[in-house]
Parts: sequence; C-alpha cells; structure tokens
Amino acid sequence: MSWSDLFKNKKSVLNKKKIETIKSAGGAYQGITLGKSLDENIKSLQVIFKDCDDVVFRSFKIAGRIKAELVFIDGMIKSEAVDDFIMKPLILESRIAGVQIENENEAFRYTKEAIVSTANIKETKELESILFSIMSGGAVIMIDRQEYALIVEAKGFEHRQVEQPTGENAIRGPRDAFTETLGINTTLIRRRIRDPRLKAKKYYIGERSKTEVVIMYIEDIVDPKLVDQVYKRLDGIDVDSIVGSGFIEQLIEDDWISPFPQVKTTERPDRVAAALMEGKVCILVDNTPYILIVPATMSDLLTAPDDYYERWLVASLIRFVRLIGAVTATVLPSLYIAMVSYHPEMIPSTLALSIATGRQGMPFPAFIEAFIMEAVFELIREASIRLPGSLGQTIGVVGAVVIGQAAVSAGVVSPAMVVVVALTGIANFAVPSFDVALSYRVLRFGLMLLSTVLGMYGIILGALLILSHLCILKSFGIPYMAPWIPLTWRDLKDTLIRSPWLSMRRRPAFMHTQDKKRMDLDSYEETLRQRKDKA
Amino acid sequence: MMKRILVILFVLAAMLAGCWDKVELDRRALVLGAAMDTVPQSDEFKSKGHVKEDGRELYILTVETHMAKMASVTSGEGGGNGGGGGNGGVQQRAKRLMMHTGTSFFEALRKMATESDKILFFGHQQVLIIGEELARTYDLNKIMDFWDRDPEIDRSLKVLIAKGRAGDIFNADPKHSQAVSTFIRNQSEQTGKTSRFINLGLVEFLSKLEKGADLLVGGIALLDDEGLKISGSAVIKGGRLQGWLDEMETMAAQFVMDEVKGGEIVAPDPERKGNFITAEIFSAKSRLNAEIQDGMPSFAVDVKMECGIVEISDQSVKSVEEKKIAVAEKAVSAAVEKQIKDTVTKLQKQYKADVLGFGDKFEKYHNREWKEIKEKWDKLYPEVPVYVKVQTKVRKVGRKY
Amino acid sequence: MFRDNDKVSAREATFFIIASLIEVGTLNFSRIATREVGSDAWLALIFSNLFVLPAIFIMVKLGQRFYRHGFGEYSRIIAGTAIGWILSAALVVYWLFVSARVLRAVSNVIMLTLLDKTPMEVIGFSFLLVAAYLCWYGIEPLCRISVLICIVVMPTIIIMCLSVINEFKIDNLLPFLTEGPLPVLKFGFKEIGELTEMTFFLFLIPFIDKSGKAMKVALCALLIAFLFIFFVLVLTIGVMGVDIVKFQLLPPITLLESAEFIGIFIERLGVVFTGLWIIMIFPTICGLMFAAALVLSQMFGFKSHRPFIIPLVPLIYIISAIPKGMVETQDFFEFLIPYGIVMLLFVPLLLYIIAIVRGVKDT
Repeated sequence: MSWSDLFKNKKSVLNKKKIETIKSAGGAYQGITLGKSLDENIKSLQVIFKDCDDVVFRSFKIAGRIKAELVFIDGMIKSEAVDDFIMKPLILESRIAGVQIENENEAFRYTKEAIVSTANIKETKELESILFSIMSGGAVIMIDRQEYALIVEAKGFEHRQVEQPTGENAIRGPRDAFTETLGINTTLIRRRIRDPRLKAKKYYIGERSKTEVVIMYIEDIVDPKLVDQVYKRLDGIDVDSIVGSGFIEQLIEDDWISPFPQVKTTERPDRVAAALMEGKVCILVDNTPYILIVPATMSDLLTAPDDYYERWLVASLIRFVRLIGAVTATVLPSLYIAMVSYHPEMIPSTLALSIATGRQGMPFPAFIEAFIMEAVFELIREASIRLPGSLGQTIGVVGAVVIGQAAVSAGVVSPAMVVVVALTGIANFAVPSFDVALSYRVLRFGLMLLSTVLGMYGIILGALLILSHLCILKSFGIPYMAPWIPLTWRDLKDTLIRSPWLSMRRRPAFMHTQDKKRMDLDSYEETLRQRKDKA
Repeated sequence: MMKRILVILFVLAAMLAGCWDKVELDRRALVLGAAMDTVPQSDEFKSKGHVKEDGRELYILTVETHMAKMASVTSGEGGGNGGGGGNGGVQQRAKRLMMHTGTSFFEALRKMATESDKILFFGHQQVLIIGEELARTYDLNKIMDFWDRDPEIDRSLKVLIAKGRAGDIFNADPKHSQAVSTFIRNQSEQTGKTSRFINLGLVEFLSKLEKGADLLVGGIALLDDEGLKISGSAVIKGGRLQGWLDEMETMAAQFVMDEVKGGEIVAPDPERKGNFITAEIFSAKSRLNAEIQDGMPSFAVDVKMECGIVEISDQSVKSVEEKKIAVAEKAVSAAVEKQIKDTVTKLQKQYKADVLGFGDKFEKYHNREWKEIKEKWDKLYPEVPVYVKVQTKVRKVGRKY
Repeated sequence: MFRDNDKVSAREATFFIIASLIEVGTLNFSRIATREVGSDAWLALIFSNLFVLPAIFIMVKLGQRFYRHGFGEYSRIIAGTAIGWILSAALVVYWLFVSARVLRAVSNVIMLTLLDKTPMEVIGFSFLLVAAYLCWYGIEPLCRISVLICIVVMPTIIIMCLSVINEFKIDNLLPFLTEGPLPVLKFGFKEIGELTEMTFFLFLIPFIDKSGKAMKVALCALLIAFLFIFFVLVLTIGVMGVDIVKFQLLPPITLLESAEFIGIFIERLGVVFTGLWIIMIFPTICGLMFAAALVLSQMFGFKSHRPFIIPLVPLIYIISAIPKGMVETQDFFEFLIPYGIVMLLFVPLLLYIIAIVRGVKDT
C-alpha cells in the first residue's frame, strides 16, 4: 500500500461521514458542497437519487484521461444537447483536436470555456443548486478533483404547442394562448411589449415543488405600492407545493369567502398585455396556462377582449347585452319563483294564465321545480366538460333539450320553468370569464333560496347584500367597484359602454399609475385639426 | 367573522321556519271580473235561503274566474289528435262563475271558499260591474269599502254599471274573446274609436265617491243574443244611481270633461235638408272656465276639435271646395254645441247632478267666492248659465277631393 | 379613531346624504301634507327645505371647526364631559328612534304590498342584519353603495313616473293658499323633521377628505334630494288630486299602480316601485345605525364603532316593534318631530356659540 492509498482510505472514511450527513439531511441540503473526490460526489448523488431510476449517471473521460461524470434526467434535457454538445466534444473532439489537457483544472476550464457549446452554462459547488438544476432539466458535469461542477441548461422536455384558448374565444383577435411552459409564456408577452421597462422577476414558491413564478409589470407605469403588495403577499406563502395558479390566487386574495374573484385569470396574452399597459401586475406560474392579473375590479369581469377590437358602437351594444345577460343569469330564476309563488300580479294577465295552466297538476311547488331544473342543468354542464370534444357538446345540447322536453311531457316540471332555466344557462355562458360565471351560479342559488322564503323582498334583500359585499370588497387596495364608485366620469367610459379609442386617453385613475397618459394629446389634437383642414 | 355566522344562522332559521306567504300559482284561481248585485226577492232565492236575515241586507257577489283544464297531450304514435283538435296540446280554458251572498262582500267572498279548492286571487281583476238596482238602492260609498281597502286588487280595473243585473253580464258569450272580463276591458280601451262610453278606473271612481262628488260611470248591457254592449253612462249623485245618459249625451259629457279621444259626429247639412256630414274626430281639447257674472258663478265650455270629413251623404256634391269645408266645419260645430247644451241642461235640470266638475272648477279658481256659496251650491247648480262654444277644424277630407 | 382608508370623497359623501334623505317620509309626505294644507303641499316642502338651511349652516360650521373630531368628542371638548355626554346620548337616542321609525314604516309597507303573513320579526331583522353587515366595514362602503343606488334607482323611478305625466292636471295644484300663507309656513317648519338626516353632518365631516367642501356637499345633497322629492310630490298630487292623495296610505305607490306602461313585461309596477323604494331606504337605515354606533363609540372612547353595531340590531328592532299597528305607528313616533327640531337646530347652535365664546377649535 502506498501512501496515497492510505490517504485514499482516509478519504473513504471521510466520505462515509459526509454520506451519513446527506442521508440524514432529509431534503435540506443547504450548505453541503461537493468535495474534491469524484467518487464521493457520485456516491452522494446516488444516495440522494436512490430509487430515482430516471436519473442517468454517465461516466466518461475527457481527452481520454480525465475522469468526469455527467448526471441528468432523461427526458428533461434535449438529447442533442447531451449527445452533440456535451458528450461528443468532450470525448471525441477533445482528443481529435489534440488539445493538451494535463490536469483536472485545465480540463475544467477547457470544458467550461471551449468545449461545451450550449448557450447556458454555470458553475457551482452548492449541492442544493446542483440538485435543483438536475430536477429542472439541466445536466451536471463533475470532474475529478474539482469542487465545482458545471451545470448545463438545455431544457428540452416535451411541451404543448401554442394553441387556441379553450375558454376565452375572441372573434376578431389573436388566437394564441398560454401553455404550461413559463418560457413560452413570457415570450408571448414580451413579443407584445418590447419595452425593457417591462420587468420579469422570478420567484420560486413551494417547499417541494419549487415552482417557478414570474411577476411581470411595467416599471414606470405601475404604482410601486401595488408591486410591493404583491411581493409581500407572495413572500407570505409557505406551502409544500403549488399545483396551479389557482393555488396562488387563493393564497394572495383579499377575501377568500367572497363569491367574487379578486384576481383575474386569463389564457390570452393580449389581455395580459393590455392589463400591463394599464398598470396592473401579472403573475405567471410554471405548469399553468392561466396567468393571474392583479388587481381585478368588477368591470374587468364583464369585459371581453373582443370589445377592444371592434368599433365602439357595436362594442358598446354588445357590452350592454352582456350586462343584461349577467343580471339575467343571476336573477331570473329567483324572479320566476317570486312572481309565481308570491306576487302573480306582476305577471301580465295572459301570461299568468298560461303559466297557471302549465302548472296544473305539477307535483312540485315552483321553487322545488326551479332547484331541480337548475341542478339538472349543472349536472349536464359538468358532464359535458368531462366528455371528450365534440361528444361533450352534443351530449350537452341533446341532454338539455331531451331532458327538458321529457320532463315537461312527463309532467314533472312546467314548460315555463324550462324556458327560464334555458335562458339562464345561456345568459351564463355570455359572461366572458369562466370563474366569474361560477360566482354567478353561486349567487343565483343564494337568490333562489331567498326568494323562496321571502318572495320579492327576498330578492331585494339579496340584491342589497350582494351590493354591500361588492362595495366592501377590495382587491389589493383598489375598491372592487371601481370605477363606478369613486365615480370618475372619465373611467366610466370603459365600463358600460366602450367609448371610441380616441376618447380613452388616460389610464384608469383608480390604478394610481405614474404615467397617466396613454395617448399623446397634443399630437392627436394636431392630427385632428389637419384632417379637418384637408376635408 | 361573527357577523357572517349570525347572518347564515338567521337565514337558515328563517328557511326552516317556513315560508309564510307562499301560494303556488296553480293553487290560485285568478279572478278576472266581479259583479255586485242585490239579492232578488224571488222564490228561487228564497228557497235557497238567501233572503234577508234579521234585517241585515244581503248582497250577491259573482266572480268570473279562469280555471284551466289539464293541458291535453298529443299522443306520440300515429300523430293522432289529442282532444281539442290540432297538435301540440291545445289548452282549453273554461269559464267559471261563482256566486254567493253575504252580509258584506267579503263574507260572500269567503263563502266561496266552501265551493272551491282554489284561493281566489284578485290581482288580475280587470272589471268590476255594479248592478243597476244595487246602485239605485244603496249608497255606493257604503258598498265600495271592500274594494278600496284590499291591497291585492289591481287599481287600474274598470268600473261599469250594468243595465239590469250585473251577474247576468257574465253569462254573455262574447265573440273573439275567451273571457267576458277581458272582452270588457279591451273594449273599454277603445276610446280611440268612439267616445260613447266612459272609461273609468277604480281609483278615480273611489275617490270621487269619497269626496261626495257626482260622477258618470260607464254602462254595460247584455243583449239578447248574448253579446255585450258597452255604451252610455249612469249618473251617480249622492252615491246613488239617478238615471242614464244615452250614447250621444255621454259623448257630449266627455267633451266637457276633456276626455274625448276619438269618435264621430254626424251633423245635419245646413244647406241641404236630409243630408248629413260625418266627421271623424282626431283630437279634441276643451277648457272649462269658471267665471263670475253678476256675483254668480257662470261657466264657459270652450271646445277645439280637429276632425276629418269621412262621409258626405249628399250625392250632388262632386268635390269638396273650400266653401264646403267651411260649411262642414260650421255644421259640425253647431251639432256638437247643441249636443253639449242639451246634455248639460239635462244634467242640470233633470238630474241636478254636477258630474262635469263645475263646482270643482269654481272652487279651484275662485276660492274665496266658493267658500261663500258652498252650501248653496246644490241649489245654485241647476240655474247657473253655461256657455258653449265649439270650434272645428277640418284637417283631412280623404282621397276624394 | 380612523383606520386607514376611512376617507370618502366629497362626491361620495354627497350621494350618501342624498340617499339618506330620500326615505319613507317622501312617500308619506304627500298624504300628511295634503291633509294639513291641501293643495299647497308643494309650497310646504319648499318652506321646509328653506327653513333647514340655517341649521345646516351651523352644523357644518361647527363640524369644520372641529374637523378632526366627531360629535361625541367635540361636544365633550366644548361643553365639558358631563354635558357633552348628555348631548351625545340624546343624539344617539334620537337616531335610534328615527331608525326604528323608518324600519317600522318599511316593514309596514312590505307587509302591505309584498308579504302579508310573514311575521314582522323576519322582515325587520333581515333588513337590519344586512344593514349591520354594511355598517361593520365603516363609512366607505356605505358611501359607495349610496352612489350606486342613487345612480341606478333614482333615474329609474323618475322614468317610471314619467309614464303618468300626461295625466298631470295643473288644476289639481289649485286652489292656492286658501287660508293664507301662515298655515303653510307653520307646517313647513314642523316638517323640518323630514330632513332629519341632515344631522349626519354632526359626524360626517371628519370623514370627508377635504372638509372645506362640506358646505358644498350639504347644499348639493339637499338640492338634489329636494328636487327629487318635489318632483314626486307634485306629480302625485297633480295626477291624482288632493282628494285621492288624502286617503291613500302611500300615494306615490298608488300613483304608479294606476300607471300603464305599454310594452313592459312586468305589470303592476307597484311591486317594482315598492322594491325600488326599499332599496332607497337602505342607506338611510345604515346611515342611522352607523351614526349611532359611531357616536356611542366616541362617547365611550372606543377606537372603532364595530362593537356597538351588533347590540344595536336587536335594540332598533325592539323599538320599532313597540307600536301595535299601522295607525299607532304614526302617533307613537310623533314626538320625534319636535325632538328633531331641537337636535337639528338648537343643539348645534348652542354648541357653536359656546365654542366661539370659549375660543375652542381644532387646528
């Protein structure tokens, strides 16, 4: 045994200690670094990745002499990266090129600076970052007698293509939607706002999931207090894992009991870009195609992107129709119950007679009818979501029609009730935002209960309750009912009607933005004058 | 947090306790029309026990309701007609009358509950008919109290007085309509076509009664062929029916009250005897001015009419020249003036009823003087001079020039 | 005393006062006024509004002098703890009774037109609970909801009234001043009590972001509310005539019931109208409840009004349930009229004079 062997044995004693430490660390690997011995490092990683058979350990020799190890997860990394940009250069070309590599230090430097030709390469000795990179789709090159390892970022996992949005369709507008990949999502936004003042800050949230979360905002438009708020709330999140953006939404919103969402979620990049321009903050979560926009107000929830692509008169009328739809969706069944059971004098006489005739021999009183039909409708809706593609839609339509018809014929419900429920259902779909539609459903049932007990007065009480709640609600410091409530006439231009673009020159006042102007007033005035002179 | 729990608890408690006012629509019988009568002293009624008891008078209340038969369902196979003809479940609506007596109308109403499984609902009532005899015998003020108090009743319903028994009206079988009450109501709204009857709402009726004023109420009669005729008006003075005005007189009265919205005037042609000029009224505005003449009230009725010539029965007239229009205008004005004068005289002398609101007008415009003569008004009224002036403008003559 | 965010803009405050001023009194006024002064009711309304102006002036000036404190506090500063306490208590009791009156009137209306057999506790408590929910969160949401309600409901009511405007007969507003102006003036003075919600200025001023605007707020609100009430009054009497109005419990509702709106799919607008009116009354009751809770909290030196709201709910209800029927309601709350005049006019005047004499003010 030579002296070196003696030392080797000592190192293996040392190794064991380190490996014990790693084993007992239980996931908290802060502060543990790589050692100089390649074997020790490989052993450490193998201990951590015990039973993770998708982690690949590839031993090789650089320039034929230097021992090195490549660790990566198969499937997360671009195979070209591994094959062509790492392995090939390190094994083959280093030999062919005849570069003189005498020792490990040179090998390290050479690898880092000259051979590995991927774009993204880092060096670290922290075990934690090494693990994180491997789990995120990087490859780690460890060289013998080097404390530092090289991390190569070459993510190449399978992901969905950019497709059409599932829920928020616009007729005349772009059709790309976000996907689950954060990089693609930020790109989609950056393409629309090519301003270096559009900032994108990364966070990692979730103990185990370490989900990547990016916050985007335009630096000199947004109210800095708002950004602070967002940071504070995100910092306050302390969970195991973030499964989707919905999680984050529920953890940062102001009032978790309220039926109204205080955060807007969207799949459409154009909506996000518009929101950013208004001084809002967007939160992108990895693995979720739904982006959060903060803060949200009542008027947000009634607008659709289409409104801005059409001309103002048409857009205003359509908005109006949507508003009626929203009100109908919430109130119609309760109105029916109230009118039929409590105040038939409100129904025009001939209609009252028809309804009364229709209700002859019905087994259930009006409110039970209403609840049954609504429940059935909800079931159909749920079912059609689960069924694949066109089958779901067909079942939805057919189911509704057939069940409705059959129920009437069988004498279970009255025809008027079917009409009411159908109208309500359709009105519900007119709402441009899925999560808002959900809140309408909740409200609808609440109002139905109230109208069952107290008739018209119940509906009035319910309306007052909802209004009170809306007035109390705040989203990140902005009152939910803005711009109705601070009643800035200027901002109302964009709520009920959609004024011509030329009159929406300033950003919404309630956002307290730094940069107030959207359009330059002076040059616009000049243009108008010129146009008039010419004509 | 506490707040929310309280609210939720309360709501739950309320729901569990039950809904107090809920009455399902199909448990209600919608009353469309009601008729009030006195109890006739006939044997038929005596035998049923519906006669005066212990000196308390009894009234009859007849209500017309609509009950719906079950919707008939067309059978699936063979496309056979399920009863009622046609496909798609034609629903027959049956008329139902219910009649009961009672010391008060409410009592009669509640007695009907012994015969019906449905709750009578007055919210859609369209018509209230008062029998002639009832109106003559009793002070309407006393009788109408029930209708005034009940909040359920639709205040826009029409009030009419029947020539004869009110209950019989519901036996009519009107064409083009399914319910007598609906027919009456729709017909009453035809004031655009003719002003031969009075379209009176419940609120006005009750308020005038309460004030003690005299008023006109539209009349309705059952014809032999089971049709209905709504025309003319009844003069109510002191809450009791005094007499009737026929159709032309009613129109004249409407002129004075500025209620004419349409109608026709047949004026005798002054140039050729036996010929008539018929004019259709497009609009009429009248003002009633109260003045003081020799210390006594006097009234002037000023009517401005616009009409169109629709029919000239003079065959020798081939074209309508300007002269002819002026003549026509004068003729129509003269005819209306005469009508109004006659009617006012009849109201003053024969009925002594101030239904046209003369006293009211005087009170409003000459309040001080009114206070002095208020007590004597009843005696003064038949003697006050009334000056009538009518101006007509012919706007259209139709295609034939 | 103020949590962050408890400031409202002048505009919001204006709407709040407007919404508070329009309450059941507006519906009753036609009946009460025509009984007393006949067709000169409209004149009486003008007089009431004129007579209340000096009171407003004094209240606003007083509040601006102590722009950082509410009544509960500055009454103590001006007149010493004992008297200040007594005055505050008197004010709170007044507000409680007024809210009970309004609540009772609303319950009566509901029981008359909408729900017959529902027990009054249900109606009263449910209304109060919703009001309490809103008050819990302070004055900001209260003003916000007033803005919303005013903007939506008031034009709707006006449009509904317009459908009967062609039946308007100027005749019905005559005769004019049959007994001379004196009875009208007297009645107008008595009815200042109708404008009792102006007492809100005793606590409202610190909440307005620019308290210099308080006078403008008061006058604007008074004017708009006056125009609205005047419109309804004149229309009611003009269309129906004094004789009908005298005998109807709530004349404007009767007015709209006989209106026939062509083409609208809801008949019997009376129910809709009643509903709209109930919505308009909501801010009034909330305001009264909040005011009482706030002054109570100031009396006892609490930081926030919240602990006082919950006990007020059953308290107001119990008071409102004391009179037995609709007729007794009127008589029972009769004493509020002179009480109101005192609180509106004399108490602020007194305090203001003392404040000037003693030279006390907020800096």
